[in-house]
Amino acid sequence: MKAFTYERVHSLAEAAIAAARHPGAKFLAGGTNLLDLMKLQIETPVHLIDIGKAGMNTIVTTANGGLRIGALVSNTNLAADLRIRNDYGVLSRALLAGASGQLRNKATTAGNLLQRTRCPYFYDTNQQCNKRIPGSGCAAIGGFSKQLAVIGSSEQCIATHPGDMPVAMRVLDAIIETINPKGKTRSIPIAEFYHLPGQTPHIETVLQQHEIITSVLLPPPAGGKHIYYKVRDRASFAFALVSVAAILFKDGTGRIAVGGVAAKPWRIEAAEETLNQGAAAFSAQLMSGAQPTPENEFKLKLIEQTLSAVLNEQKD
Amino acid sequence: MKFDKPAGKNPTDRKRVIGTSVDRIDGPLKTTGKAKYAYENNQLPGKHAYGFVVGAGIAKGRIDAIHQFHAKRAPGVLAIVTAANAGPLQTGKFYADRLLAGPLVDHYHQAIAIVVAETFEQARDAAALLKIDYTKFEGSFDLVAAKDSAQAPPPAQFGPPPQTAVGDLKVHSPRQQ
Repeated sequence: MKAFTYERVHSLAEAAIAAARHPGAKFLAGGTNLLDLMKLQIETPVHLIDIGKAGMNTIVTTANGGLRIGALVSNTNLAADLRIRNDYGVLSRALLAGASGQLRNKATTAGNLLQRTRCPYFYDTNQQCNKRIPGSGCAAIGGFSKQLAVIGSSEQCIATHPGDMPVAMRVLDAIIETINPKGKTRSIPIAEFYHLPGQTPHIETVLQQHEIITSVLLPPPAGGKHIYYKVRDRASFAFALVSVAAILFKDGTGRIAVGGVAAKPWRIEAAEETLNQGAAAFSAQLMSGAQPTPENEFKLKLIEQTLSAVLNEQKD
Repeated sequence: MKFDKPAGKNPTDRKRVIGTSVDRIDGPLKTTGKAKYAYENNQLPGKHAYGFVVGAGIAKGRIDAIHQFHAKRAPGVLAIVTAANAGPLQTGKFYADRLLAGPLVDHYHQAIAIVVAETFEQARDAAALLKIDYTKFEGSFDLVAAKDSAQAPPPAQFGPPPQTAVGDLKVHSPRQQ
């Protein structure tokens, strides 16, 4: 770990002042990802601004019947909230499919959106990685790529976003609300929040420097049957090879996002029109243009079969 | 024995142990970080030192140099042990490879150095300051491709000799041979 300075702030205003003083600072919330990366010297901030006690930890019903989830609501509290469990079941299930009880107690809603890839070449500082050191190359391409992306990747990077929660947020059409140090707020639909790697895999989201996520807005309940299927190498404490977040309606329509396959939750709204034609047809539309590696082309079949299992749930 | 009356309370019903929630006696110590590690119970005088093992950054090849200038001068560093200065090392009964690689590297992350410092964090930081030059050799990474060159391993220190049987699983199970 590189030496760094640390301060704790108790409000967004204090956070803005602290950020203005320290151009190289990073915000610290639950720390379940950032601290690990600092120990490995993958993240080397010179200053940490701990926003963990800056409020933003409540879930409030909005005027139109949706929910506004504070950025610092823990994964545990979010998954356990009765409103989430009743009306946004896919989110609760996705959260409980991830990490462990201890980690979910610390991990926050905003932090989970910003979780960095688990690509082994990103983690191993002996290896080339364009995400870790822009321009250094990608050792994952041609390497051990079983876990990595099959679609939306580039010649610079084939890493995936590892999260479960964002996949559920994607089918819920969540909106990410932010504020920058000058007090300017933005509402960013999750569909527009993540960048694909392209030529700049180190730029992962549309967030600007020191722009803070303050909350995540869920639209009013969509109804339907909420499903989250996660397929992984072992039944617990493993990242998804493929995960499917689904909201299915009685008339055969639905919304589906897939995790573990790209640098962002993968959802193509137009493809959902083919849902009534079955898993194979929908999967072909959803994954059109996929560029898997020889080690992970199995994921395409796995997606189709997982989708088939998910669609069968609606028949029960 | 006739079962014509209720059996009454049995030891399980008394719930003195079975069926009750019993706190682990070491639980509070461990959850508050106060439990001692074995070495902390050691009554030997003097301070403890901490080691951090550095793994090879290549899978197959040769270490040409381990540049230690910055690591040696890092705070708290007491020693940097490599194959070059460790002296003869035995492997013991349970380990098959050399304890410290050098100059040749046999596999990825094989131990090539141990940085010893006054704290674990100092040792880990100093380890990150080591700069190592390698010459990479062609490795063997494909199990299927290497299958035909496999050799039966020598007998271990104890236990039965290694069992090898070659056959077709579809035709006969090795267990039946």
